Amino acid sequence: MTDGDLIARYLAGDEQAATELVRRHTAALARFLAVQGAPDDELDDLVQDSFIKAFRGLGSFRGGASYRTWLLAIGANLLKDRRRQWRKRVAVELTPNLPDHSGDPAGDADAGWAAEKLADEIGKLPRLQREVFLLRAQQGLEYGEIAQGLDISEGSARVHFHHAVKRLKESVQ
Amino acid sequence: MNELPEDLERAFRTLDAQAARRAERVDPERVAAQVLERLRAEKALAPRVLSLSPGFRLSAFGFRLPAFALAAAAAVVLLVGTMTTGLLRRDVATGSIAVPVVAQGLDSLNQQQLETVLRVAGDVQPLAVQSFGSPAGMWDDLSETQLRAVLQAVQQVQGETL
Repeated sequence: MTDGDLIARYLAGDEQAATELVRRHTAALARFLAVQGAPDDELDDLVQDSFIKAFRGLGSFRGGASYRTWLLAIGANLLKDRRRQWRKRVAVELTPNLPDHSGDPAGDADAGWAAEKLADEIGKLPRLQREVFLLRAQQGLEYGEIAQGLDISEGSARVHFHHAVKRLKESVQ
Repeated sequence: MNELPEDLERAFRTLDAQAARRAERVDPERVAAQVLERLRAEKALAPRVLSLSPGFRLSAFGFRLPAFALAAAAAVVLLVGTMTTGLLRRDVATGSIAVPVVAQGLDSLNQQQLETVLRVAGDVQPLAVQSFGSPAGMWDDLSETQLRAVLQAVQQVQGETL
């Protein structure tokens, strides 16, 4: 059953459809918010609130964009609004002891350092650059889908991605 | 994603792996249950306010009131609460409906009907009730003249603020 089917069923009064939508998209939404520095103790609430906002706004959801893209955009906006409240808190808790995939301890330490720098730089990106970059690099979405979800042109999405990559590349060099 | 430069992709994979681990702590079943509970609560609240439809019948009181009178009465309760206690919360204020010249539609009601309207307004605006305590009985001590005076005062306040 597609997300569109579930949305139609929810709007017709089927609560189970809402449950299924939440099950499907919670992991992606949480990961999308986490990589942007949402604090651990706020992540659960942020995910919940994003879904609530999405369900409230289903009337304005345009079928052109995927539900997930739309939901992630809602989550990003929510995170942006709450970020002000978190300014005085540690936004990202990067753990240097990450899994060793390379068998190269020195390389792994470098990767941990670079990831920390990268997290910091992602947080500094302009909103559209950040969202386009993450929707593309993390969620693996096509430019067309990103463009529809963020209500921008496909060309603009490509430009935002290009600028984000250029800036982030400098931060990890 | 191979469109990223190698060093950036490596750093991003590291960062994303950590984000994924953090995200795993968010239980989809728990989120679904809590979201559903909140949606149900919103639905349960919505019909009480949305019941202000044209020709809404107050069966408990045995007479009909036009919807605008009930909506106006809700606004009356909000504004009287503001004037009498100053405790009106911001979310209630922004959530209320500005109804201009509210008291005009109530001129034809007698004292009993005015009291009833104000009580019903309390019933259909639970947030407003919370903001200044239960209105039960608060209108009983007022005469018809005083009730009309309250409505007129509200009318003036609205005229100044709109």
